Amino acid sequence: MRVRTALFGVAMLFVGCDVPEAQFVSSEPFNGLAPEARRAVKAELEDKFGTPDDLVGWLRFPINYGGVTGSVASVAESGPITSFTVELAPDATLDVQRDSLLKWQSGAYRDVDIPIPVRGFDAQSNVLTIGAELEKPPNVGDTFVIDGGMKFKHGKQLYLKHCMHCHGVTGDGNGPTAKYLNPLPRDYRQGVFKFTSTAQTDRARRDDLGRTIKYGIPGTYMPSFMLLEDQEVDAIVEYIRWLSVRGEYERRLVNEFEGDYSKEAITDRTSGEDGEDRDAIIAELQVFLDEDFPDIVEGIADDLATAWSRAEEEPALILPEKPRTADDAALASRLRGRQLYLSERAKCASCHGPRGVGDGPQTELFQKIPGTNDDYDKPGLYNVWGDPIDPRNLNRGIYRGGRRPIDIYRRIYAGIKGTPMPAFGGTVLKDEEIWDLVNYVMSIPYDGPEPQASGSSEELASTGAHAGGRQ
Amino acid sequence: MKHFALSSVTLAAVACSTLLMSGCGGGASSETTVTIKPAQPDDAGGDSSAANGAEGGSTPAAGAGGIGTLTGVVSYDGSQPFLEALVQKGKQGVDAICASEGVPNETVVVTDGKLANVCIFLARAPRGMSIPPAPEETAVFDQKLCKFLPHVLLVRTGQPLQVLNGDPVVHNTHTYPSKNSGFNATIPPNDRMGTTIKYSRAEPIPVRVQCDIHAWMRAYHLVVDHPFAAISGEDGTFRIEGLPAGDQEFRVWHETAGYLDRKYKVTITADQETSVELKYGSADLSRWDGPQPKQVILSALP
Repeated sequence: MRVRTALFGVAMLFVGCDVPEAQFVSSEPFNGLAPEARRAVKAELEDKFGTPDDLVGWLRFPINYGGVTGSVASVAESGPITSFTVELAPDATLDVQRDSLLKWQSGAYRDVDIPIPVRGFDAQSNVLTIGAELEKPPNVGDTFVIDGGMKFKHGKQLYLKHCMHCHGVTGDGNGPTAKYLNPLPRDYRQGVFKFTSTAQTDRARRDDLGRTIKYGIPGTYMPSFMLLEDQEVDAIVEYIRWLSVRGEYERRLVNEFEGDYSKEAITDRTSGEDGEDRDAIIAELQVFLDEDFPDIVEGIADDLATAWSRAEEEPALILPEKPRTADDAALASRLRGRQLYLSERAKCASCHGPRGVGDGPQTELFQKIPGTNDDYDKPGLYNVWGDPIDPRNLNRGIYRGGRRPIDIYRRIYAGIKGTPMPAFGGTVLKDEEIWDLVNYVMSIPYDGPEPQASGSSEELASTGAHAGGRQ
Repeated sequence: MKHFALSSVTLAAVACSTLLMSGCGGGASSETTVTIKPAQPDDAGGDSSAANGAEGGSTPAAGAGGIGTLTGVVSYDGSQPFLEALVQKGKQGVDAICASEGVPNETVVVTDGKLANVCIFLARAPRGMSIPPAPEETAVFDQKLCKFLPHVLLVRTGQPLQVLNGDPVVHNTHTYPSKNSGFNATIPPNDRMGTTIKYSRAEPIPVRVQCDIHAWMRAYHLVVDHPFAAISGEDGTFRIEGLPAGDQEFRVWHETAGYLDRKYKVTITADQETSVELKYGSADLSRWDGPQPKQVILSALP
């Protein structure tokens, strides 16, 4: 008995507490490629994005990995160097910590892996003091980054702690908890986020993602993370943007190979009387990788970088040109809104139904599966992730994208990305008309789908209750 | 009364589980390394030996052997298959304008044994050839009688594409590209000014376009970044000019088949018209099985 206990005790000592290594999962289309193509795509992804435990932050994308970049402004001619004058990136402030590290991005020391400790920085004279001696002076103009990637690392750790169990390590909306949830958690890999303040064709802004994290999405399992600090939310937002970029990058890469080098394509090409030889196809793939591939990845990186930077700029943001029409006691705005709701121009009732419960005629038609001629098995609307989706029941007063009037304005103006809700602003409906619809929609939970005074008009006017009071 | 004595096994188990739990820190504390990768590698721009067919001109290596033309006709073995109309004339419950003439099913269009709406295009611009810039004239994409016109539209990247509405009802035009950002907006009734969009990247296969309000409406945009593409007309003919002489491989695509041919090989002769005939039958249009009866579960309630 004692021997067994002792052995048991000894065995326990050898049970490691190895945390399993987190890995990114590949998408379905990736798995449909031929092995040689898969290898090339995987290598490219690991080169530009790394793995969850060995992250690569590619500066090509407008993602804030944290850290301060700068370049050498002037340095002594010779001798061991322990300090030099620097020029930091515009608007950057450097707060040197006890463990701040400097890594060279260009110049003679670029390939040195070991970062250099930073001792201090004098903001007046722009002199940076380092904790090591550089034999050869760096050149003027050599760039470096201090504490590079700290926000990125922080974001990843926070994401794994708070978000991963629903949204998955890869941000594919397929974490361990996901299968119990309806609606499913967001899959970031298309670069599509539903509730944004940007135009229909633009990406989400940092602000939009931050609001979603802070306020959650009522009516779904996405909770509010109001208790996180601002800088923690910022770090998570950057990591999510990075996951989204990685997902889209993978999808675009796979797209390039799918036509000729997927398993299906190779079977197609090698079959039949004039079928090609598989080795010849692989040789062709090699030529493609050597000659066309570098330009292709340049193009993809370019597109993604442009799209995500554009989202942060002014033109992408939706701001109403006219202020909200007062929702007055005469209910004029709401009545106009009701008329628009039923009109041929907006056709809201075709999906949301004449009483706003989400039972319009569109929900009974069979929709086509994207990219094919086949219909979905069940009638009704589907979103871009392939899941069935119902038009919002406007009687409940639950607005997933936010319940401020401006949020509802934006849903109508730019539609909801990834869903059949189209954009009406700028083309079909004018600002005043959209505000009329906003007033009408916000009154439905209280007064039903037919605008009518629930009390006398004096009562409404005196309390100002939800009539022009909320701006 | 029995004394409860802690057996030595229990003691060992408690001790060991404490040991175990003390070591597990959880995923958040595993060591993460971050490598910051500079935007451009230092040796970028050095490798100009790989000639790339950049738009706007580079050393024309591929066009050196001369320029030729490809003409052809797409034949279909059989007659126009019967396709039930998408909307019957006079149908109740749809917009009046759509039911006024009914909406025919244009997925397969066969006239006198010739197949229309087949896309023939080069997968990529020929390497080392200077590609003429996109035409400035606008490509027009209209909607009349709840039908897109044309059913398959050829458009260049960078070419303005005007989306119009010729019906007295609102249409919601929604595109589903794989490399460009999609377009999903409503076009007001009788809008002859329309909305102008542009594609910035070539798409590997034609982009599906549909109307979210009128679910039967379907069209395709063939988006290319070179002029070597064509769509067969009602008489099945097509013509592509300016092709470099030599072996070329074309993609042949139809909406009911996907790729009819991934690499249709043709040898183009300089200063000549090379004529081809593409023959397909109903077996090739295999993704189309004809109108399927839908099983609709009726409520059990009276």
